[in-house]
Amino acid sequence: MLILKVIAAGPIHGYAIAQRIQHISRDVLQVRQGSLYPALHRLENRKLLQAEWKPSETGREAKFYRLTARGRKQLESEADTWNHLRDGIELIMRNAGKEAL
Amino acid sequence: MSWWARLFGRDRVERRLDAELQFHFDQMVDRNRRAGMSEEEARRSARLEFGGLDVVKEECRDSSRMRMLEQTMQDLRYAARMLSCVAYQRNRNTDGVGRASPDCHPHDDGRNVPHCCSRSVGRFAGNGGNNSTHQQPSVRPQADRSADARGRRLHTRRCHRRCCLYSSPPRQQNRSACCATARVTWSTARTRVEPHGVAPEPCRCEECNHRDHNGGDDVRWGNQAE
Repeated sequence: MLILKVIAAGPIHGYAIAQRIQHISRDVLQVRQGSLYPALHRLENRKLLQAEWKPSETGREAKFYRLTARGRKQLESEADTWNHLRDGIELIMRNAGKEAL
Repeated sequence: MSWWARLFGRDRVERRLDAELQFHFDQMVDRNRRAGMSEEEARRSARLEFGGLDVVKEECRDSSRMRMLEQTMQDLRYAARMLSCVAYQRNRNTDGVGRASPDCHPHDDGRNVPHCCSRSVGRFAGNGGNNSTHQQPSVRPQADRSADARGRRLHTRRCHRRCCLYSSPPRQQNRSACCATARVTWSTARTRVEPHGVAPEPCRCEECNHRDHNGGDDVRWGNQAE
């Protein structure tokens, strides 16, 4: 979901995805290369991402990923699931102690 | 990239994967250099951070659905090769009455499928095969050219036919107790007698005169240059 969300902003290559996740989460989350690239390839195989080679900001060719329509739907679905889960956890953390008393 | 391109353009896929990971690595080196590290230090640090490149590549390959198809094709090729070997032997090595001709494979009398071939079919069927029958015999002779060649034949025989990818002691499970005893006796006795250069007589029982025990001159044994 995090990868899809970062890519949703526009075409981006693997290194920039890892950097952006780390930067936005203020170094709380770090994506290792061993997890990032297999995940990107899996998402590409599932047609959630589309990849193309084009020059990067340094002028060198890089593989840029962008979200497909199917990927966008998947992102919305996963974001909904996450919001439900987060609300449930928040309710438990807020109210579980009060009910016990 | 289409599944067709992935399957038949594997070199291209591999080159692109290499390029993608190399780009990431070089970006990390640049970042370290900008942070004030020397070239060597920047590379070393990036290498540590990146981890095993081959592991990442392997995981990327595993994430591809083509992987399963590739493995199935490998199994198909293997099974076809083995089956063609069976057909070749049936046509060439039988003398017309179902007996093996002198250059016949010792595992195959012309009527049965060699176990190595049946293994390939089993592997294709998904049971993974069993290597246990292909293991080397536990008792092996030491290299001693003065030792009795016939005695050595009781210990090592390695098939060099193309269809047998694994050497194995043929029909070892059927070997008589007499032969098993003779083998051990010969092995231990040889160690004892070896300084005098005399090897004890190998077992001459009726069982041992069976062609699978004595073998024929057409069969190459172990590492011997016979």
